Amino acid sequence: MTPIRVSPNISSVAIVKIIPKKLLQSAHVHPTVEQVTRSQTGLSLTFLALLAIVAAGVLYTQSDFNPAVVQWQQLAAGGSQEPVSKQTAPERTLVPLPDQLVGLTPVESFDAQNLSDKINGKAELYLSSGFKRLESQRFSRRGQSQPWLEMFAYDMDKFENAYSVFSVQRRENAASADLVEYAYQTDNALFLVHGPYYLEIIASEPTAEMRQAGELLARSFISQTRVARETISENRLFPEENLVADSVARIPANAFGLERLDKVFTAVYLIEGREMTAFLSRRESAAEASELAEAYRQFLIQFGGEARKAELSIENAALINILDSYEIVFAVGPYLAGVREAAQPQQAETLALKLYQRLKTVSDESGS
Amino acid sequence: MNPEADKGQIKRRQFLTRLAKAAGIILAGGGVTVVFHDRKGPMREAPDLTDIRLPDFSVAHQGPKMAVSRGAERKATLGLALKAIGGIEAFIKPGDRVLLKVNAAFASPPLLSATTHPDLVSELSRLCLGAGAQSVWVTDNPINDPQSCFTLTGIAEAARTAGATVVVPQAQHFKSYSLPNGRLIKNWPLLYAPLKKIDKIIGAAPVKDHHRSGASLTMKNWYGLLGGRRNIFHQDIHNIIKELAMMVQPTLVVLDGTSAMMKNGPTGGALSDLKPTETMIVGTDQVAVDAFGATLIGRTPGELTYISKAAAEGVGTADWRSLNPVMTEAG
Repeated sequence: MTPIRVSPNISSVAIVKIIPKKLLQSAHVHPTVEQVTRSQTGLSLTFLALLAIVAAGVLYTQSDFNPAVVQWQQLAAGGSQEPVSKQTAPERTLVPLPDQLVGLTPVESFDAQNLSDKINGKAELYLSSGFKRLESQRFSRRGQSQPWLEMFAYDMDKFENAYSVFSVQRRENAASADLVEYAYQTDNALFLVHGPYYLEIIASEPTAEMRQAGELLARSFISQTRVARETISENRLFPEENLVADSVARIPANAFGLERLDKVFTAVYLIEGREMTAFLSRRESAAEASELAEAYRQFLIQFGGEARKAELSIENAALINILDSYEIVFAVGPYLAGVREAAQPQQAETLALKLYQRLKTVSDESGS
Repeated sequence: MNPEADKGQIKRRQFLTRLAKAAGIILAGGGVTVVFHDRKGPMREAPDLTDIRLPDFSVAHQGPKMAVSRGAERKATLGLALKAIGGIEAFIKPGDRVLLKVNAAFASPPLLSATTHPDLVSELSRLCLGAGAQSVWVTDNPINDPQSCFTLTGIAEAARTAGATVVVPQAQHFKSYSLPNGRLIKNWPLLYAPLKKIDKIIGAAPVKDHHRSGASLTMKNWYGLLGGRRNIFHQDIHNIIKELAMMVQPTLVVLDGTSAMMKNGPTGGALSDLKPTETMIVGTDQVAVDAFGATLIGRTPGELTYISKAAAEGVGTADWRSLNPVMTEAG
């Protein structure tokens, strides 16, 4: 930095009055000589006061900021009932159709800007999981308009994103569908992950005929959409004992209310008639896992949790009592992990220990 | 002359001049932001200076009331619940023009319970017309393909067979509206054309889980009166629901918990998302009705922030028990 030399006719007293000491030091100001006049000091203070008022005004306005009232003109230009989705020619179908099915409507496509026009409040789930594009279309059997079924093909950009929205919405006790690794079927619908795509096929009636039609559509989509073969390896890290089938889910971001906690896998366990959740998240390094575990512990304490003393067999594990349940959080190798919503501390510790041993083995084997 | 100044060092006068220039630039920048700051937000075209006010559609002497009826048949439970608060005739008078605000947000079949069930639409329409209503209009603004939404939900057919008229929103139906003392609903397109021609309004909504707000009940149902890119309000979902509740003072609200969407709302998609909670709630206090409705999907009123916010604004009470609701069983 070039040193600032002040004219000798400004006194050091006056300089100190208008410029903070640290600033003076950093600027290498070397005041000398005479006193400044009162008017000069007053002028300087006036400028600083004006700057302070501007800063205060900016801060005040910013503190009142609300994204919901930031309205672009086009956003407010409402009332129009023009279709907001981009529709293509009715001749086009989302997938090559078997002879017995026909497209009832044109293909509709939605991006991040207008996804909520199609699925309303559920859009946030997809948007926070990497959503890129949705294409949907309704079909029926040839010669009939009822019953019908609708296909939703969500392009989630990455396989793990597609798995996230698939897993967090997974319906309990649904039958696995023999189509791809991650697929299941309910009375009226079919859900699956194929590469970066999350597919939903929903029928207007729960009939065998519609289920069969849904399978045909799914197979057509899978066969025409080439994707890399990928799988979720974290599923195998959870201990099998008492694990509720198909309960593993991936939370993409903001897990358990902590903004920094992302890419978290959870699994539900049923122990002595009570459900609890185990969780794990592989981080970039052991140091990051430890730091995030501590951040989560502090987060729980901040929101009313109480740290409990416990002789846990897990190094640096913390036991927290919060909202009438118990949580354990720990780090092992690059993994942040723990247990939530346990009714008893012993139950939490038993499950946490099993999870710890599993993760330690994996960490040791991989040399992480 | 200061010899040091000649060596490229700064004089007092130069120092003050530079300070003044810097301050001037900053102040000018601040001034420009003040000049360009649009306090009202953008308008559709020119500012609409029409002073739109929504009337109070409630029946003054009725006060806050609520009734709950249990059963699997909507027609029966609706009849019993209405009877418990004085019958439809206590609210709908001969000659009234009635608007039935349904939830037709999605082009989804009735069996998924993502929209107001057609049986409820037809029965409410029939009861209103039976009480002497001059007309019953049925409307919602689903934004995406309203025609499909009204058709595939079964609402259009239900309304038509009961003698009601479906109002499919058109661009000219909307007017810019500002909620008095509102923070979010400012110069926003409101589905005003039907609202200005009615005497009574009944909100009819299903009980649903909602990914963003926790639950979609009767207060959230007024969302469908807004136009524009209203999805931006999802950033502040609890306050927008509170303001919607402040905006509409309904004649009645009907919350259909015959089949409640327990998760994956508000769209659902699988029958396994639903639970037969077999409950119909009717009332004049939308906050109380929602507070009770929340319990059907395993939530407490305290978990839904918008309920306490609406109560704090005086819209109604979150303590539904204080209304001593009549509880009945249908069949």
